Amino acid sequence: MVQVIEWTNPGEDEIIWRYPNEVIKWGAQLIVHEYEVAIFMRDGKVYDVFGPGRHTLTTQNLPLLYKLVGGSNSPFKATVIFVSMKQFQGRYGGETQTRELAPVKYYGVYWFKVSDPVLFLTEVVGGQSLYDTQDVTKFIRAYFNEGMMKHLSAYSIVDLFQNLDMVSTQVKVKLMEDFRRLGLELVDVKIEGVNTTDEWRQRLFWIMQTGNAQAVMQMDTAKQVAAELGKSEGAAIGAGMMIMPQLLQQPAQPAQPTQPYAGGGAPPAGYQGAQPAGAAQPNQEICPYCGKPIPPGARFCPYCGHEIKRCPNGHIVPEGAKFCPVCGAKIE
Amino acid sequence: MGKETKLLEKIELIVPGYHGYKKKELLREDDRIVRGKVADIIALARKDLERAMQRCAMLNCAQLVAIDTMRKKLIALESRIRHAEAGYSGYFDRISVREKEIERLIEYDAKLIETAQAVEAAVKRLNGAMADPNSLGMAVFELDDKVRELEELLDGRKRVIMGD
Repeated sequence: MVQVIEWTNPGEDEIIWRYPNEVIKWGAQLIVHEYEVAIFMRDGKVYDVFGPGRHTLTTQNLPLLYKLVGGSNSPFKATVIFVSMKQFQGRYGGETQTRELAPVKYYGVYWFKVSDPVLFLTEVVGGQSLYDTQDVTKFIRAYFNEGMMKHLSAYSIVDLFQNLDMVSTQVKVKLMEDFRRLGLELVDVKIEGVNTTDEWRQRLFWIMQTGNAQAVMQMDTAKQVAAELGKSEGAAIGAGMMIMPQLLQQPAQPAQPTQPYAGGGAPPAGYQGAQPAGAAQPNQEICPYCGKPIPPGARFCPYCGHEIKRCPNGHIVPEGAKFCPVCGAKIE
Repeated sequence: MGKETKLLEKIELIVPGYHGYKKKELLREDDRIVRGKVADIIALARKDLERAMQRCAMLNCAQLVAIDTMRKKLIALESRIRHAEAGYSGYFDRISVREKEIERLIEYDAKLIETAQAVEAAVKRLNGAMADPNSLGMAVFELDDKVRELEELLDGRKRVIMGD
């Protein structure tokens, strides 16, 4: 009976499969599907890589091997490893911080395929019989986190939401070489989501509303001082009266209008982001989600489509707020 | 005949093993090796484009996403050409007896190789235009045009093979 060597029913995430029987007969039929290749190994060395089609293992396609086994028709020992050449999907995720040190969590997907099966087998898989996308993700995770941390920290959090495609492309460019070195090809990287803490979300809301990061930071400090004063047993009555006015003093305006919410540093490549909120006209309202100017009283941002929540007196309020932070009105 | 010979010679110089669909048993093989050659040229162009992306990222140029889109187009094109069905459906049977279709097919093959080489050249120009944002933008457009041209050629060639 003719021996048939074929990878039947490969799993969705399986990249490598080793044919379990190492005893192979002359004339065995090796069937390689369009989406895979078969690596033929003998005595620990790679002898040949078979592409799609039906291959009869004879002296025609393995002449060197024929000489090695003495030209007889007896079975010989060899290893056949199938490598899937289709695209696979891996997942990544982690935590880092943006340019203004806002903590962000990110997660997303990437697509890759084997570009050099022999290199991938020797550099990554080794002697394993089965290798899947989870193993690759585990192997490559550190490269992903490093790339993400580097690039996300170059953006402010609002820029980040507006430039996700640029960030993911930059990460992809950086990671391409790392993948290639392993015999893999990074086809695409997408960031599915970026998130920050509630505290930072509120802070960013006010920074975008006022257009003055320094003033918001000062308010934060004043709030913290007030909270600490309240806890302090030794604080004299009226201590807050002495300290608070100084803490709330208007900071000196910067000579150059800068990014409304950003720290220093040059904006990342290709960034032409939102207009600084500080540059908007006096009565102009700013969308708290994308930072672009919106028509007065608008219920939805014409740029990002977010719903703009308002108090009964028409002030823009953060999502989930129970009272208007401007006039104190209760929000239904 | 002269034109055909010239084209045949030209293709044979670039694609070793090409017989110009003259032997019936090698029809599918001729089709496969031409596609393989074109796919190889596109693969080289894509690798060059990836080098352009890396240089673009280093220079912080704004066309990075546009170049990446072109890379994806080349990936799709390469796979489409390499894995196109050679088939056992018998659609080659019809052209095996018609000289005229074979001539058209050879013309398409020559154009296909020529356009693939033009794509490769456009990628090289894009690499050279990295320092100047305006020329880089134009180079991206030019590459896009060439890729589109190649796609249209592929469609046309498929129509000839299918006997439409």
